[in-house]
Amino acid sequence: MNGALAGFGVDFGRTVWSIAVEAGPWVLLSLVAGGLVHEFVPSSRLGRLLDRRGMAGLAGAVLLGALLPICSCGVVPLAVSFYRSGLRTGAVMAFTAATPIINPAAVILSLALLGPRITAAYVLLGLVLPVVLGLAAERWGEGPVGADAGAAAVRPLPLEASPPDAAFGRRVLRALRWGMLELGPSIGFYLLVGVLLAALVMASVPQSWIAHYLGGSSLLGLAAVALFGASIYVCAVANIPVAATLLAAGAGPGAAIVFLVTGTATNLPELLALYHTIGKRTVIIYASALVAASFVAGMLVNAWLLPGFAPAFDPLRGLNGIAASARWQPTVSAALATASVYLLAVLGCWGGWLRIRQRLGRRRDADGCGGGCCGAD
Amino acid sequence: MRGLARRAVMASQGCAAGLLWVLLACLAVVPAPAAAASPRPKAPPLVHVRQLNAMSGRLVSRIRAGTAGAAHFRVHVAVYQEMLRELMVGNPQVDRSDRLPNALLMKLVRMAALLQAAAACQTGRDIVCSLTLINELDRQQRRVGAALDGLAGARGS
Repeated sequence: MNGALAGFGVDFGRTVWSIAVEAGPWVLLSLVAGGLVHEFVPSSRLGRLLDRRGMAGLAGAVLLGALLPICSCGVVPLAVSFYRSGLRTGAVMAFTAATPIINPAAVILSLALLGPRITAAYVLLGLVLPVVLGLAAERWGEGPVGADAGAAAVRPLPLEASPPDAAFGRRVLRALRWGMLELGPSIGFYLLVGVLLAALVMASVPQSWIAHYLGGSSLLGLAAVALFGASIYVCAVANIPVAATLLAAGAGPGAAIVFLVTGTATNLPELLALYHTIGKRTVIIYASALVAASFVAGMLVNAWLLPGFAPAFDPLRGLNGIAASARWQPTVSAALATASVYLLAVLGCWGGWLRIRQRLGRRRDADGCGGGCCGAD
Repeated sequence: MRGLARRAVMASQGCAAGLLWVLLACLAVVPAPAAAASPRPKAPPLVHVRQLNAMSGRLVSRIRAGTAGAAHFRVHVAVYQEMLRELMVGNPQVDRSDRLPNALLMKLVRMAALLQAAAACQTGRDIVCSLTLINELDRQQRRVGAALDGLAGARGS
């Protein structure tokens, strides 16, 4: 019993660290980029492109996301800053889904290990699914920040909008301040809680279940894979070799696609952070639509490729593909990765402290101590 | 005395340079041996696969134990890929009876991809990967081992 508990503790700790260290540098970079987005994008061409009505805005968001090699946790600060900059919800959610699902390194690796047919399905799904999710979130979710300003969980710092003719250096400083001091603590707190929850799920679910459900092509298996994939944290580039080995071991192509898409598109830390920053209804619709749409896509891929699908590829070309994909993958130094984890932990704890202080303040107000009566005592 | 020593050193240097030129000329004239013309591996390919399998086994057990130093691990993954590439390039040139089947090579390529994914984990001093990846590495290691044993049994080696 003690041994099992110790084993669980080791798995839990290892998972927390692996998620944090994998996502940390990108979250940090995304916080900086988010500050710049908040300061510069609303008045820029990019802002106007993403804010267009109809499909053009969604297509722009998907293409922008597909070019960025950022995982699902790293995309959160950027998505929230797009949202708080007043961009339409559909474009924000389409960008949030497209960024982690698809990127050049993932497509090269998929072509090398999964073959052209599954890669075609993966690319198609990676481009269409975010548009569907964006449309669903826009139709039934909360409106943009101007229409629902109360979505921000942590009280924003009193930053005034910069006049467009302010000095460039000053605007950059304001952007960094907004990204790190306002966005950082709120996002950091929810990501911290989400990472702990995701690690709990990943360490609790027996690995034999994953192999069992991924190993078949039943509808129950597809649903289980979709739900499990949506809760765990995996990067597309790390997920593709896992999907390739499972496929070779007998998994259905639909299950592999579902695992690939839901595993990379979202996870508990991301959902928790977006739930508290963008809006509850939007995120519930986003997550449900993701699971449902990827389930349907899995069934379609099974209907297309089964029976008789054999994941064959040329070994030498596959090895060359792995090397080519590694060249496209940005690497982060160990020192920077570790430092980013500690910095995000500090931001997360600070965000937690802000929330506690906010709640205590509200309670004092509710107890009748507001309005200066306590101060008068 | 010192001048004599200096002249002896210069003479020996000149002599060495001369010998080098003669050696190079001989190499240019003498035809290359047949073995050098084709990059045929000296040992049977199965021996090389066993070496690769042992190497990946060590890497996987280090990841599982949390003792895989990041820099060291990445170098070994690169070496693994290069050894595998060499093996695959040389495979069509070996005797048909010794040639490695495509299915085994594909298993090795998938192992290389999983190791590459582990090496790409953004990490601190040691490689720390997700449990899903570690377990898949373990399973793939067993698959390669089983395929290797099956092939060795079939060939009676």
